[in-house]
Amino acid sequence: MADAVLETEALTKRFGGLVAVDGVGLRVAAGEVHAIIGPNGAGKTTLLNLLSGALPPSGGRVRFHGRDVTGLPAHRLSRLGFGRSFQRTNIFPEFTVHENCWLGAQSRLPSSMRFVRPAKKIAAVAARTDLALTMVGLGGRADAVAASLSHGEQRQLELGVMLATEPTLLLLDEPMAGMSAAESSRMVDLLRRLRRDHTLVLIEHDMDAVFAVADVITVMVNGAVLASGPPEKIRESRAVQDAYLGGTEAA
Amino acid sequence: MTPTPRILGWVALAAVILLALVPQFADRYYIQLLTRIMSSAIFAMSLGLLVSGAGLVSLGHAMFFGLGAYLLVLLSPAGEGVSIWWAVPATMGIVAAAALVTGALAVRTSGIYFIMLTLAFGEMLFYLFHDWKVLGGSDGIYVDFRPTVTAFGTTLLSLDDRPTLFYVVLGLMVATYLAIGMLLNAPFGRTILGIRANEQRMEALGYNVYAYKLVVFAMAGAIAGLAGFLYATQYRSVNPELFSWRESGLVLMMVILGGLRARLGPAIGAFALVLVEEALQALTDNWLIAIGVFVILAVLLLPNGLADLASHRPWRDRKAPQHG
Repeated sequence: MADAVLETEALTKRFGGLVAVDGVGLRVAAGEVHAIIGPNGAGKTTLLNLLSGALPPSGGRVRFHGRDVTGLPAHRLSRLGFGRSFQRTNIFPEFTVHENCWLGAQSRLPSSMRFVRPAKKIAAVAARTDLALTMVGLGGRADAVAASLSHGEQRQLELGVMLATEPTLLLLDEPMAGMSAAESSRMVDLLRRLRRDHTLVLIEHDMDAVFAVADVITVMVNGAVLASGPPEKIRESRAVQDAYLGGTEAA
Repeated sequence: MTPTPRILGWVALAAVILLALVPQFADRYYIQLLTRIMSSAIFAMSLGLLVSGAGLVSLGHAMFFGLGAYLLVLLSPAGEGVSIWWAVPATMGIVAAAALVTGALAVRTSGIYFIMLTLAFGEMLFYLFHDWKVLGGSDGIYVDFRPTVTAFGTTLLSLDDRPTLFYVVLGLMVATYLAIGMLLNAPFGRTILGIRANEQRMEALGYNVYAYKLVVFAMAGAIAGLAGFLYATQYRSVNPELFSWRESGLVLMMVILGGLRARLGPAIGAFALVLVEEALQALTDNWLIAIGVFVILAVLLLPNGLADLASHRPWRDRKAPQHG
């Protein structure tokens, strides 16, 4: 069995009296595509916020390659190799596509407290930017202002900005949200390419996509893990059918 | 904050050349007026760095201007002028340190809370200098001698000479503009512009947003301190009003009036506001009301600031997306 890249132990998040994430234990192996599914309000995005450091957990542990990273802020986790993409497109709408990816790429400098030399002269950052643009297929749109992109292109850019940070663990929140069938299938292709050298944790509502790319599926309901296992087992599970999948499959 | 459009760059260059000629033909009054406007422009540019650069709207920025002004007085020895070679770096360093202390708390907040905290810090300093007799109290303090500019025992420049002081302030204004431009093109500038656009994403991308905000707050403070130092050099007197929230509001008005999207905006705003004020004062007794009308019209007709007048025709493409 491959080593665990990411492990959580009884991970919990409370908002006042509400338990949004309730004692979640996950184990994500290296090179795995781990999908998290569940009905709206199941706590999937909150879980991702705990994993990426956007929110501090109320309890439990997070380990990355065996190292305890519980409660580290997002910017520290990013530097360890965490990449996070957002459900609601979270780019820099006023900047060009190139400038968006640049910010991802520049974040890998030891520090951006550099005040004199023009940023555009830093070749390593420029190279990382171009690579990320090519990976997500936006090489031809580099000079377009992000706000002017189509929804599908913005979703690609959302990933491009993240990939420019050269992450090893990708935490993706509904990368296919609002995409057309054609755009979704391109995204599935991209995820398949990414899995070659990344570990992926993925929240997704598009069940065809989930069953097409995931190695492991974790089903969450009411903040807790209902079931976790390979796609075939999840598809057959009576509990999952009742709680969630039934409705979606029938539709 | 877009790079300066080419035409705006030419306008700025022409304005600087024109300014450089002023002491050759203008009288004392205008030399003094323009010297004061130029130190205000430096002050406005420092706030512009904070507002347009990092999205931090401060309503207490005058505290750093006031500190810079008081530091000239406090650093001057009795009976002679202080050497500019150490007084300017010392002033900027001390003001930056003060900005780090206040900023350490203030930049943890954002939006209206940041405005409230900066306002509160500014008022605290106002009352400190207002009520503390050692620092001159409500009357302020005079300094007998302007700073000296010497090298190897010989005086290079005499700041008592009005045209000389004018050129020194002009040079520092241009230098400040260029330095801020350099900063914004460097990785640091890209970072703070990204923070203004989307703070949460910058954090997720691995930037320590707090640290960058704190550093830009200290830098803006140091530049405002320089402006205050120059103001005190010109007038040889300081008073607690320099710290007041009215001053902070006035400089914020310059920045907004000039335009948040152009790097030249704050300087344009400083010149426009003071010159329009001068003109209206000459025309009518009700000039304060007239100023209000001017500002309202400017904001309504030129939502991107006066800098828009030179860069393109705002009434034509108001619907075009606003690019950062």
